[in-house]
Formats: sequence, C-alpha cells, structure tokens
Amino acid sequence: MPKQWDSSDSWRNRGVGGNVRTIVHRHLGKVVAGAAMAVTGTAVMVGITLPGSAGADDSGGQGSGRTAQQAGQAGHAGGRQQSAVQPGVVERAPAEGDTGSGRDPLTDDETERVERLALDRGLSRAGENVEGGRGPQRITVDLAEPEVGELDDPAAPRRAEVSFYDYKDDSLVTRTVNLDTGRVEATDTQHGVQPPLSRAETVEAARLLIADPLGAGLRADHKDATGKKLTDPDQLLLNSMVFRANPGTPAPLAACGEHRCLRLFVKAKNGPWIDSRDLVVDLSARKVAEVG
Amino acid sequence: MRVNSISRAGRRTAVGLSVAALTVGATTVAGPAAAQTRAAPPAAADCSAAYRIEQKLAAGTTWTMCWHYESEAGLVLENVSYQPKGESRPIRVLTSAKLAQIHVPYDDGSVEYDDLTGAGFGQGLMNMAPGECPGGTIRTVKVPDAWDPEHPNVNGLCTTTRSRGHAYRMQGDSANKVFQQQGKDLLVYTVNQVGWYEYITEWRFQDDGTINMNVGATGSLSPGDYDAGDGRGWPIGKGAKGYATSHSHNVFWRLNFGLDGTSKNKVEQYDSVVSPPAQGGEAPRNKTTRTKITKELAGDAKNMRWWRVVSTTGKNKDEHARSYEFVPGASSKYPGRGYTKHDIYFTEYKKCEQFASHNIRNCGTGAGKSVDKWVDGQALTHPVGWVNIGFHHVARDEDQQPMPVHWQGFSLAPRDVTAMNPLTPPELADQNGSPQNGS
Repeated sequence: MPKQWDSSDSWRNRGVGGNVRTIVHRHLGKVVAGAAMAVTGTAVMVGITLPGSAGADDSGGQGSGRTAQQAGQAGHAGGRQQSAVQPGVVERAPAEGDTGSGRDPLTDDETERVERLALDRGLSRAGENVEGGRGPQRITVDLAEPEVGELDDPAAPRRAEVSFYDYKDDSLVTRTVNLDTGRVEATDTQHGVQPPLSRAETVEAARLLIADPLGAGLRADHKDATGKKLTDPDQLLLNSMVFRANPGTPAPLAACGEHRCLRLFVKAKNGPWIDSRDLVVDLSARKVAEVG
Repeated sequence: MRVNSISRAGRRTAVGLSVAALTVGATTVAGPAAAQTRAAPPAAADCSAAYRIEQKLAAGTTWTMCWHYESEAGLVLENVSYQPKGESRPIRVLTSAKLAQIHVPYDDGSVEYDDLTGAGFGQGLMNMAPGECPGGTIRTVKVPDAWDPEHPNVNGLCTTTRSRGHAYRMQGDSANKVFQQQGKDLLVYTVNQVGWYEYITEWRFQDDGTINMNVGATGSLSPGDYDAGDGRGWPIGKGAKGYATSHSHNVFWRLNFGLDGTSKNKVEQYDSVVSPPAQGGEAPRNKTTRTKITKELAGDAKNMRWWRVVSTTGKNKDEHARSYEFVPGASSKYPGRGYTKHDIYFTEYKKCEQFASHNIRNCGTGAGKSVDKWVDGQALTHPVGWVNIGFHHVARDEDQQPMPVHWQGFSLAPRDVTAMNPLTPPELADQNGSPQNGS
C-alpha cells in the first residue's frame, strides 16, 4: 500500500496504528512554496513556468501543440504570428437583475425563490439535514431542461430543478418549480441515488473525520505540514467523492450507496494535499471507517 | 491583470459590446470595440447578452450560442447557430451540448470514478489567469457549491479565436494564381479540476462550419496509485520504481440536435463495403449504402461507417437537406461496463436522461441509470446523440510533472449545410456541380 519514493523531505510515510499516511506536495500554480516543490527526489520541476507569469511572454501563442492523435480532429495549429498575442481580458461579472431570460442560468433571486417554493411545510418539518437539524439538505438548484414538446418553443416556461437529500430516510427529493407560475410541477423521490456532495455536507464530513480516532493521521499530517493543530474544517480546502459499496466493501460501509458516503480530498489552506482516500465517512450513520 | 470594468452608465450596452469584441486578428488588443451589425435575430429561445457568445470570424462566418453552468455537468452550450457569409439568417445546429460523463476505471480494479456525477467535476471550475486565454475574454461563472466557498465567482470561461492554418488551397488556372485561405476558429473552454486531474473542456467552432469538441486531461497522475501490479501499470520512477496504475478515461458528450431550429431531426447510418474488381475492371469497387435509423440505437464503429443527423426542414441552395456528420477521433473503447460498450447512442429526447452513467434524475422504475439502458426501441423523432470517446492511459515518464495535456474528442462536420464551401472565394463561386453542366 505505501508508495516508496527516493528519500526526500517532500515525501513522508507515517504509520499510525497501521494506517499509513502520505503527504503529497501538489503543484497549484503560485501557491506552491519553492522549497517543497519537488515531488520526486529530483529537483527537475523547479524551473516550470507557472501560469500567471506566462501571459506576458506569450508569443505566437496560437500554437496548440496537440498530439498527433488529436490533430486530425481539432485541426492543427498554424499561424506564425510575428507579434505577441495579448493575454485575455478578464471581464467583470455583469450586474444581475431579478430574473433571467430564456436559457439564462437562475439569478440569485430566482434561486432563493425556487428553494423557498420547493421546500413546502411538509418537507421542511419532516426532513433532516446533514447536521441532524430540521429540514432536508439542499443539494442543487439548476435551470431545468424543457419538456419534449417545448424544445423548439422560445416561449417555453422557465423552470428550475431543486434537489434535497433527506437524512431521515436517505432519500433524494427533486422538485421541479415553474418560475413563471411559482408552482411545484413535479416531485420525485429516489433511494440509492447519490449526487455529488454539497459544500455543507463535505464540511460536515470533514468535521466528523477530524474528531474521529481514525482521523489521527490527518491531524498529525496537518500539524507536520502547517505547525498548527487541526480542529476545524475551516483550516482546510476540501473536495469529496461519492463512495458506493460493492461486494468487496468491508461490513461497516456495506450500506454506502443507500447511505450517503464519501471520501475526502483534503488540502491544508496554504499547505499541501493530504491523502485520506482510504477513509470513508458515512454521513447517514455519522461514522468513519477504513476501506481497502 | 487587465480587468474590463464596465461603467454603470453604459453597462447594458457595454456588456454586449465586449461580447462582440473578441479579437478577430491576432494583433489587435481585446477590448470594447464598435458594435457588430447583426442579421435578423435567431428565432429560438434566447438568452441575455451576459450569457450569449457571438463571434464573427474574419471569413465572414458568425457563430452564436447561449451558455450557462450546471452543478454537475459544468459548461452547457445551447442554441448553437452557424451563419456563413451569404446566409441571411443563422442556421441552428445544436439545441444543447454538454458533457455527459467522464468515467475513469483503474486497471487493477480497485477504483472507478464517475467524475461528473460523483466526484464534483462541476464544483471544480478553475480560475484562469489572463495568459491562459490569449487574445480572448475570460468571463465570470457563478459556481454552485464552489470548492473554495470564499470565491464562488470563478473567472472560468474563456472565449477566444485561434488560427488553424490552411482552410483550403488550390492552384488557379494561371501559373502564379493560388487560392488559399488561413482558417480561423472560435474557441470556448473551461478548466475543471477533479481530484488530481484537470480537464480542459474545449469547443472549437470553425469558420467553415465544423465543430470540434475535445477534452484535454492534464494536472497530475493519482499520487496514491503507484503500486500497480503485473500488467497493470508502467514504471515512471527511476528503474523499476513507481508503477503508475493504468486506467481509462471514457468521455461522453450529450448533443441535442436542433437543425434549422427544430428538434425533429433524422438519423442516418452509412456503410461502405469493398468488393473485388468487376469482370474486366481495373480496381476493387466500393458500394455505399444508407440505413435510416428510425429507432433508438446503440451504435458501434465499423470500418467505413459513419452517421449523420439530417434536417427535416432545411435545405441548402442545391436543394439538399442540411446535415451534420459525426467524425470521431481516435478511441479505445472500454468493454468493462455496459454503457462504454458502444461508440455512439441515439436516444429519443427525454429530459430526465442527462448522464451516460450514474444518471441522477429519475426516469422511472426499471428505466435504468445509464445510456445503454435507455435504448429500448422508442421511435427516434427528437434524436439526442451520445458520443463515447475512450482513452486507455498507460502512464509514461513524460507524464510527470505536470502531465502533458492529452486530448480526446470528435468533430461534427457540416454536410450540405451550404451549397458550396462557405469560404469559396468570389472568383470560384460559379463552380458548383459538374464542370460540364455548371451550377
């Protein structure tokens, strides 16, 4: 299981109660600290041009340098431009009105409105969110696709799909809200369907992991990397991946899929990534277990 | 870093102007420019200026589309329309276009990712530095549940133009006359991070009507997978060390066609079969036959086989039905899962059918959660095309560090959208049809 690298202070293997942890330094453009840049034992990477500094020096930046495999499809780059191509212009976000038109994404106002409309009294009273509080966990709010009969209709109604995860009965509830009429046109409930974790759920999972005995390695790695004690998810940048059980999954995690389970990708803020993929958090059961 | 700040007074118009001000020539500086005069507005459902991409390329071709961002799928392009010089109105090609899955199974069987539906692909939209969008404009995208919650507005959508070299070349009648044109494309792309990987999702619209869609994988190999067993990996450390586990990237695109403004399109399959020379003939012969695809189909690539989606309402000036043809790039099909067993699927439009695998919305009890399950004999009146392009990634030393971009994708080529090459120069405009007969 552990990966053996040439000795280098960039890599460390730590065994904690049989649970081997590895710190990985990852290139993240300007965030990378110079001394710790080398991922392998060699110092070859130090001279890499980072994205931010490349813009001004771009000349003939129109070459795409693709592989032969792709050249036939995308068309190979040509164009010997004598003068440098200017770096892109970053456009400030335009002011947003209350409502979008046509196939615009939902405005902030519209998003708030459909969440309110979708969360009727029944659902908010009976449902349970990731922290065990009242009301289901909001997952996503997106512009809905039209019905088949409306595909070519420029005046098709504007609709949103709002999805919630109810931890009381592990159900994914999706409501379709018509923004023009304000009515909930459809409600669908599924079990065993796990969309990507919302921010709130990822944070809660990190909270559970930090507090858990199995989180000892994570806490130790964080201390090593930053010198600080890890007590709060706020100290981390987090990514998550849905975990679903398969026939070989250890018993404590066999319900994952019906339960909402995830693996965390953890990065110390202004620090390195910490590999914690061998730990799974079951948000439905509120427990942490090892896998594989 | 230059920021295009829009004054309050001229805000509404200014946004529209900056959309149209993408550099057409490489040397001009991007910035607000004179407004482009537009032809008659498209009939289809529209979007506001902030969510419209409109680019007139040097050859006189204009591409127009709407964009928005979805929680799982990321960038969505809608109402994609093509207007070559000489056409009075934009011609709609696609009602909707987006990714439908990035499926990544590892060769040792230990793990299998579904990046769009389980790994937060949509949440991982990356900020692009100005140097990452040369000659173009970087727009702000509001990312639901962005992974850095302090920065939900991501400078994440690049639109720019890029030269592709020769669009065509032909010797003219006189010795020193050459007809040639350097082609120019509109490029639209985002970068999404999923774990260690970063994916560039690129849409490239050529001035001759061709659309190229590609996904470029870059970032870093999974650092936790360097212990591959026999036949499952490749050593990329020194000597026999660091066996990076091989894996596949199976990328799916979902294309809802709307040729000439209607979603009612037809699908056709063409097969060519070579046979020995005829009695007394010089060369082998090749016969091409058309199969009308009237029911949902799970299509497999075959030698000299291709598909096209045909308009039911639009014809070009030669009275031929407009169509777009699929031209796949190199693909290594992954036989391990039902949904990756086929190269292309055509399904009847159903709004719950959004992802090629691990579909999130409910399509009914027993309806299945992957595209292969949805091919169940329905009549194909509103076809949606799902294209599967796979890449078996056996790592190599050059993959560290960072990993060079590896592209996989396909093209949609116009077939009979115009009666002639949309870039035909005026001197050759009368060369339509057989030289004896003229036009």
